[in-house]
Amino acid sequence: MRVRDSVVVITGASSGIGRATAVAFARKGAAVVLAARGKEALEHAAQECENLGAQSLTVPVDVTDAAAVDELARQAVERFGRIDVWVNAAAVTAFAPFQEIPLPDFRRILDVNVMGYVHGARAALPHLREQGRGVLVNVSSVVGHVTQPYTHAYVMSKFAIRALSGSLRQELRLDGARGVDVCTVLPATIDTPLFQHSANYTGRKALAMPPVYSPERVAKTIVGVVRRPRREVVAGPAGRGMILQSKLMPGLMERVMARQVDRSHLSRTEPAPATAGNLYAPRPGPGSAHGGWHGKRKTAVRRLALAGVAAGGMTVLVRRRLR
Amino acid sequence: MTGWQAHEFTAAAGTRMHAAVLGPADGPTVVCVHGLGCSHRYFLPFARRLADTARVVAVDLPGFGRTVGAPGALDVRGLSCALAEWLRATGRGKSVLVGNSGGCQVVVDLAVHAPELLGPVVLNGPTMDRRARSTLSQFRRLLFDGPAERATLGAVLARDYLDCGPRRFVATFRYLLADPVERKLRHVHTPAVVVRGACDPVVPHAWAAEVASLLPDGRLAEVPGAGHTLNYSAPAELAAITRALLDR
Repeated sequence: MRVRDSVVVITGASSGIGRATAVAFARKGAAVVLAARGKEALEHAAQECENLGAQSLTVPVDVTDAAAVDELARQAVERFGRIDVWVNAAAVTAFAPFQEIPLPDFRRILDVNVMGYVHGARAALPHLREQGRGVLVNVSSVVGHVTQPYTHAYVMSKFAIRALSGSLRQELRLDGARGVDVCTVLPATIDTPLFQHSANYTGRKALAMPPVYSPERVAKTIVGVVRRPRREVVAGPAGRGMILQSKLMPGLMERVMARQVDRSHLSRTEPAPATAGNLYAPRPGPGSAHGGWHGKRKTAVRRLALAGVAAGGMTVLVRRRLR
Repeated sequence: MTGWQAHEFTAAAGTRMHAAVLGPADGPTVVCVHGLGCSHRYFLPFARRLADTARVVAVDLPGFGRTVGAPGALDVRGLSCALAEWLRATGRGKSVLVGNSGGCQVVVDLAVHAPELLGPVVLNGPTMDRRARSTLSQFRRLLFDGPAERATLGAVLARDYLDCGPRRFVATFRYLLADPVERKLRHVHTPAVVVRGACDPVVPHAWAAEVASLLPDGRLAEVPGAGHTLNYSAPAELAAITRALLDR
């Protein structure tokens, strides 16, 4: 589908991947409708989009409120006449041992991450189907394929999102709605404020588990699946390797991932107080797409290292041949 | 086969006013008012999109489309008086009014002298931008609108222009150009939506925003990628925006 002049609704647009996605669509000449709980952060995100010459509309909404999400769709149509793309990207998470996370927190995460997407899909699909074309993008995660310890609710929700997308694709196919696509995007670890915003009951500071990629990279992938819809797309090559590994050697991957999370997802030196994070109220302030985990720099360093190794290998090979 | 369900002729304004009808009889009525030199014909795509819920009635003002007019052209007040008489004669007062281009000026003028007939209003591409009130700039802008429209619009309009004739076209254009629409907007007390195609050169964003802000109960809607004649080139979007107003 053509991205220029399309109308794109994005939930979770105040920070992280949602915000980077809004900016990416704005840059491509789409009209963007930004939805999230935090009013101030939304306004800042909208300003960023308008500075790129895009039309924008902000709608403060909590995605767990189905009526409010319907209202979001209605407002988008009222302002721009149609909805071409709906991106579900609003998500929250908690780090905690299974017995220690308060049950309401557990429920809240499933409510936001799963029911929020369900509400989004139910609000968007009638419009997309009536128009006969459109794309619904559900942002899941690499942990929608690979399990992780200490983030049960988040991992469960990301598995559920993949399932939701699949079921919707099947139903649309049976109904003959050929122009409407449902795509799942699976980001690896992304440099977003998610880790600072998360609830945490582990006593250890949550870190972005390397390798970290930039949110712009995910945004580019999302714009890509809108242009040429695909079932599932991974953003971040390390994630692709992990998913493949979990399919080929599920037992081994489970053990590796457990160790990896314990070693590098939760800090072994920095403590953290118990907090419910942004589960029940948005973080005040202007918000940001980035979380300060240096996704861009780290990707550049990785690329440089890879190039170095490749160059070294080539030199060795060439020398051997010449001998 | 014209695609319309029925054509009705009503004795009003000293002539037989023609209106094309599409949609269920029990649905809410949506009255379409055409722009300069146009007629009911270019409202057909819009009417088709709305016909499942609303009864769409596209009226031809005297001298345009299939309504025969007096030899001289009517000014804006003359056209809005004719519209008022027709609304009274058909009992369609208070129904939703959808104007396109110059038709918006007629609808706004109606609000001045017959507010009791005015229902919710959709102003699609309201003319004339007060910063470009000259023949040359308006025609230049209209020319640049061409690429943003569906190609078949030209054929539809050619027939309408033949119906209205060059003399009436030019005279009506002069009246529309001289019409101080921005001073009348405050009389529109019903809910109103200003709809503009984001690529419309005739109605720039600044003017559309100004119109919306001058309306007591107005808001702005902009359809990305569309031009001046949304009822023909982006009918689904205009229908969706109109439906939102109907549901309100």
